[in-house]
Amino acid sequence: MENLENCSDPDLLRRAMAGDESAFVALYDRLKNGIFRYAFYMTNSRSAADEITQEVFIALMKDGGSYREARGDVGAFAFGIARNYVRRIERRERPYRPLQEEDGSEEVPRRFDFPADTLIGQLIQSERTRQVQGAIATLPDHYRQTVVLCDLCELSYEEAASRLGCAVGTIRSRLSRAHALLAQKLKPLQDRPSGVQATGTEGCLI
Amino acid sequence: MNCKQLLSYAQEHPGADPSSRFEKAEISSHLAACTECARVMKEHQQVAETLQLVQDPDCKPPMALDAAVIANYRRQMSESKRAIPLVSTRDFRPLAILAWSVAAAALVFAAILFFHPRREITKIAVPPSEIRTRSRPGQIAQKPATTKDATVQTRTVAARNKSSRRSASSEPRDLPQEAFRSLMYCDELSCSDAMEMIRLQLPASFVTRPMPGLAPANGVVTADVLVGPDGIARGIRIEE
Repeated sequence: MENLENCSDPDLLRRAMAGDESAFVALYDRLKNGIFRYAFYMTNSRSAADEITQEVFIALMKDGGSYREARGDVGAFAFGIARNYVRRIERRERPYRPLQEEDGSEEVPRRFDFPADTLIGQLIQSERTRQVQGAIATLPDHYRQTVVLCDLCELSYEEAASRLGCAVGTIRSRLSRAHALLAQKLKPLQDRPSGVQATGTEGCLI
Repeated sequence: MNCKQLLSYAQEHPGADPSSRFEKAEISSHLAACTECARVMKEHQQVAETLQLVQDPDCKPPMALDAAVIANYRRQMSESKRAIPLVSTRDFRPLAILAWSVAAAALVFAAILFFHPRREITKIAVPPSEIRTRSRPGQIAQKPATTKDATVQTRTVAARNKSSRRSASSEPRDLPQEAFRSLMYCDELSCSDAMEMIRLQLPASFVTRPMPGLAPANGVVTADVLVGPDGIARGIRIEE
């Protein structure tokens, strides 16, 4: 196993395709977190992320022969497969997606100032998270990919550029534009006055 | 630091605090003077904070997923190993096609041989002793011709006068023995068994000796050849 730690990703891929299970496990350990996080943040679903991660590694073993080392690292190759599966799942789930508001933005919750450790505070926090996820989901695809990779998966600009096959400068400009769009979409979340005032009787709701 | 430099810095370090004290002081002084940049920076800061809401620190693949992926890998490898004979069978498919083609060609060849018009072969029921040779001057037949020979010969010659062109497909008949010439490598026209007569067409140039009354049509001469049971030609007769 200590030899496998020093092996490069292409070597591990070749050995795994030849039937070396320990090489496959080592490659899986290296790539699984990035692929799972990317799939999770793109779909906002753990089950979809599970499905995508499984499919990516099945496809990697099936089509790994088409990998060319000169065109990028194995992580980028696997990421390309994951991106295709994310798109496939989005197409599959599109008919079941809830309709948006007429102005194109979802109804954002009003600002509450409940403590996060209370139940209602947790519910509100959860709702806000859902709304932010919805705002990210409404971004154009290339902006959304950039936000997910750089802000949520915490890849460096160079890694994100390698995954998306573009220049680092393109990643910077896309991220800046994506943040501006998100700021517009999330502005009501920040600016709306609270419609509910804390009265001290919130515990009665339970 | 101007507005462009500040926005460029914000792009490169979104949501991050300035690392050095010098940068922090420069940014702070510019933000204090420029309300537009302050608004933009505040927006960036809010977006960065909001995005942290979405980040899930427990976003890790579950253990069950690890087991499922490894099980998938094992199944895939076992299937690919089982698929190897199938691939080799596919490789042998052209050989099977070739074998079927050869068999079909052999069948067609056999059919052609079966239906092709055969050479006209006539069984001769004449004992070889009755055939007189005259191939070589001075060569004497081992067995003298009998009276029957003369009759046969006369009759045959008469028949030949009537129709010089006789059908080769006729039944075994009495032959004009005199017309047959012994071939040079054959000692006698003697053969213990029945011989076959084969009608051939030869180029006229093959006939070296002058034949009276021989006028080959189209340079082709018809000849009857006597072939013994051993496959050796014993005699030849030029028909025309």
